[in-house]
Amino acid sequence: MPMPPVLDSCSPRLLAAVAALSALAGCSYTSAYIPPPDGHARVVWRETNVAAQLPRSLPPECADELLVAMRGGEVVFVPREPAGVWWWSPGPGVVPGGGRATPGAGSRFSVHGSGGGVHVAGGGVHGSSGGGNGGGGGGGGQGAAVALVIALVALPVLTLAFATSRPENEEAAAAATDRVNAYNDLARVGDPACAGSAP
Amino acid sequence: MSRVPVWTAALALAGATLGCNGQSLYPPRVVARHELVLRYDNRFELWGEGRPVATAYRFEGLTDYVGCVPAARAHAQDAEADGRAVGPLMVSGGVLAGVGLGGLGGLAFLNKNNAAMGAVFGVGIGVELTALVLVLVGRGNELSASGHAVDAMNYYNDAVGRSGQGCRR
Repeated sequence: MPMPPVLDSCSPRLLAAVAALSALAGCSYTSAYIPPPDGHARVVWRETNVAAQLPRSLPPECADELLVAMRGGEVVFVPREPAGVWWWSPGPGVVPGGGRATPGAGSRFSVHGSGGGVHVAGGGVHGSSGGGNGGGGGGGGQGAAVALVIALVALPVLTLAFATSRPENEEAAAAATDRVNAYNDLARVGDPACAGSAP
Repeated sequence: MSRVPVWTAALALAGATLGCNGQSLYPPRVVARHELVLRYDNRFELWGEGRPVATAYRFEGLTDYVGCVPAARAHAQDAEADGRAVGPLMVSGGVLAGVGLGGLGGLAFLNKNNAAMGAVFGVGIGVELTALVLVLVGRGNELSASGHAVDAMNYYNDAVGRSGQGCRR
């Protein structure tokens, strides 16, 4: 069976379409935000996902405490909904919009709810061949037709998979937000080991 | 304050290091009154004053919340604009992907009319590629919306959120 004329003429276009799709898959937003060096941990946007940006230097005592926690070997799950929120107020040295914030130096007030509990948990498609063909051509055309049928079936599956999945890496996003939120709590809670982590 | 939050935070850091989950495990406990914090529950969520303010991918309400900070407002508006486009792009892409399956009708011409079969296949493939492009553009918009929302949060927190002031409403 000879190659259908429409397909033959469309091949360059198909290649161009594939190239365009590859380019689209790489589209992302590039952030121009530059975190000020104020000692706060932040979640920042990096190309296709968030990343945790922690202050560069930790006091040795705080680093030791975190290191011990990370060596615990157990994954700890905390309640998803905050059972209690401590409103944190920065110290008097903070100048909003450009000043130098000092985590750990702030005061806390107004406890809402009760402290949250913690619980610990352990942590083929194949094408047919042969058979008669009306065109009287070779197997190449038949193979092209089979390939097109496969593409016709596979493309919607691929499209729906893209449509229903998250574009960002979910595990990395969750881990980055946890790191930042936990670090800021540690720095603000006034714990002797980590309270002075702000530069 | 007791040491419980300290160890909760420290252990959450460990969990984040070891973690393999699409959800935030650690709810922030010590926040400024109007500070925005980011959480993740299979989508990005911006929380302020103990409640979700805006969620991916539409981020509706973010502009209102951060509107008093010009840089944050601009990014929030971009996030909402990008987010609004995601739904229509995804839905139209999904519908077209189904429509493109009609190209399989070309099999009716098998061994009868190769030209017609090729034409029907070609149209089907074209429709399906269009669908794929729409969905990929939608994903790009989704990423862009999230990036703008994160930037909006950071600019807002730097200006008025972390100081506890917030936008006076």
